[in-house]
Amino acid sequence: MTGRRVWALGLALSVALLGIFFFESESSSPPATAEVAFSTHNAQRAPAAETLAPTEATQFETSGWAPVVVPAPDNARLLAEPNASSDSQVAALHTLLQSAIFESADLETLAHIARTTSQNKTRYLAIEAIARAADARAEAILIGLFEDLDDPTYSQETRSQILSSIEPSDASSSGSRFLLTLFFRADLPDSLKEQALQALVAVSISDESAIEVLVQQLPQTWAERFILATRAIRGQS
Amino acid sequence: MTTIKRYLRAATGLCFGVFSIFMTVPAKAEHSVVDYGEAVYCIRGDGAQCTPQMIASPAHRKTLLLPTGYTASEREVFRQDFYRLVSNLALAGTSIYAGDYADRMVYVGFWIASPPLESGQATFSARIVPHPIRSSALTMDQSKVHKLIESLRKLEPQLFTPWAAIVIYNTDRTDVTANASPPSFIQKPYGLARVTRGDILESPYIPVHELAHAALNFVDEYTEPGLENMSIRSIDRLTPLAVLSGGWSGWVRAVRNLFGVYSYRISEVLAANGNDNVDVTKHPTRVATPGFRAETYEYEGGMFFGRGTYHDAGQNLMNDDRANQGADDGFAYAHSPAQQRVIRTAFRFPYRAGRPNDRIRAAGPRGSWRAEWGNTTQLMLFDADKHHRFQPTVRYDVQIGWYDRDWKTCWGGGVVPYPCYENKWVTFQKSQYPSARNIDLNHTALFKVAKLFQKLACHLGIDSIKPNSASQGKYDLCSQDLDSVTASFLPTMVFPMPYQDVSIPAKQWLTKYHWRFRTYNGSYHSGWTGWSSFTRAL
Repeated sequence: MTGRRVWALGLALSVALLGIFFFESESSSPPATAEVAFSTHNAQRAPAAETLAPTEATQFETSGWAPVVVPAPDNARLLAEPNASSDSQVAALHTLLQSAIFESADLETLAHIARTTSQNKTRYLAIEAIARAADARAEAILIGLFEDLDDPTYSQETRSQILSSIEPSDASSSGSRFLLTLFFRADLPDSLKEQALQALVAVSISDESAIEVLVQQLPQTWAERFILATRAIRGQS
Repeated sequence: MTTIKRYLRAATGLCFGVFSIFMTVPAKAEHSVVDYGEAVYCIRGDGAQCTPQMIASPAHRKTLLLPTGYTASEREVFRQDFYRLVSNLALAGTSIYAGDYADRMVYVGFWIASPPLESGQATFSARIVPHPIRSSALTMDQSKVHKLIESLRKLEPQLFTPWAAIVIYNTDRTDVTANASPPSFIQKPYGLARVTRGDILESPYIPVHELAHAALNFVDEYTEPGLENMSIRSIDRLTPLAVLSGGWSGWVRAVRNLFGVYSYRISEVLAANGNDNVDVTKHPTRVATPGFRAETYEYEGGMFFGRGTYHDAGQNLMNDDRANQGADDGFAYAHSPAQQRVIRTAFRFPYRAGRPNDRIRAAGPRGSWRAEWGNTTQLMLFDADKHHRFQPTVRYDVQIGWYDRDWKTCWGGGVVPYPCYENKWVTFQKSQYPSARNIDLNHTALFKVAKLFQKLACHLGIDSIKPNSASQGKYDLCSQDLDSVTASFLPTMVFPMPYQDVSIPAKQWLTKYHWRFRTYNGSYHSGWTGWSSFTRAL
């Protein structure tokens, strides 16, 4: 037997032994769930873990949870079809948009839905879901949607909804800077500017120093309104 | 002897009298008229005299009317005011609840003599004080009303189990702002309204409007002048300053730390918390339930704010005409479809919920976060109907799932074994009952929006205000001059929260768990929420 054959036989035996080892461990209980990168590591430790701690499923059962059979989530498919024609699909999408928590990675998808859907309700719910996410990127995405307002599919109501959803953290944040730009736009009605003003007043609730900073950047008429509004909300005369 | 002790003693004596009368009613008394003597008055909304069967029937909703400021010589005045109020409520017409269901509403008046209002010693410590925004306000120590009702209920539970109590202030003034506390805010089985006898004599509007707050748990659909463009979400920036209390377990250590992980908002606590005519979204039906249509609240505004809250189309009793957004918006002696649904539920007998409790969403944890130590993870559920007046959630069903690796032996080339796995979807379910959860809003935090919050709190009749120390006694927020409020005298307002926490034994790092939930209100299961997920990151 040549050296190469001995090496190959040894390798095969090693793999076989390793496989049997895993086969034995699987027949008793699967290793606990983990990310793929940790699979081998977990699998090798499974027999020892079984004697030291219950599996995840066992943990749930001993805590009073009952196993049930339900289909796995299909969020990605639902989000990919914002203009679905079937009523049940639309209802499922709306339920998802209104009742689930979205991760950062989903925000662009939600913005895409808001831009492309033909249904007002779906657009409203997509914007609402972005705002609810309270993710650091949400504000920029909302501002991006507002900037697309030349698109006639956006209604005044949608603009107002987006403005209601922008909650700047402080006077120097991107949200505040965006709101300040609106006062210099001739194409915007005063009702939207008034809404933007109230959002800036809200900034002053948590950051008193913002009052002076914002007053300096507002056009004079709006600066006066801003001061009156901040005094009114605080009960100052 | 304190005032409360005096009238409780009087009440006790009178109720024994009432009880004795009941006991002497013949067994076949369906058509008998009950005589309550001079201290207790009873009449049905349609003018029929009260019968024992009527009193005993849970199909009849009972409203308790209590006087304050009526002296001992003014008993007849109160008796007449009582009948005038009942008559006015019915006169409001059959297009509103009080007229439409007049034959299902029983009014009970309970006489208590009192020093006059001007004396400062009136029953329930009732006073007329300068209002923070309007001219004057009606204030009182609500705990004294609660104690009286509790005492009466123990003596005669069928008669004194009201769905609302109205305290009538003996003054002819009509420039005093009436108000009412919806039951979900004061966490009682009844709401509490305050009106003047001037209000009663003037028109049916104030009594039916305030009773709608107190009995039906409706909130106002109008916008306060000056807040037309302010979003209720503006005050959400105060949420991290609030303190969770009232049973939140040890996992909640610092709200500030959890605020980025769990999504709870003061706006939801105020405007989507048991009330069923205003919400913080245009589409209040958050999950689809087969057999039920999704509701839409067409018009923006409500709960004082012009933005961020929504109400149903339809002129109605809880709105005004200051900022109408359409022909079917504004005031009328009528109800919106959403209000009509609640009213039908309130008077349906035998009882059945009007819809599933479908105003729910997942509130955390968010996708990936640095978990705390321990073997459990806490989920937070938002449920706008947790404190619903007529169909509160009685159970939550929670499902959690993950992809487990189903390990097995695979064979390379048919001869070489190696470990491999398939992802296997595993799901578990558990039910949980609702538990009381509160949030404390310390006035220190609110001072920055003192005027706004004083306005809101006074209008809602919130009296669950805790002074900073026992020596400070009761804190009457509505009678305070803001300029005199100092840092040493800052109360805390306690709100019930529309959130529920659920503990799950998901403890593994780097595992993505998926979860969803639904509600049961005794009549219907809601649909399931969409699947949310979280990963316990290292």
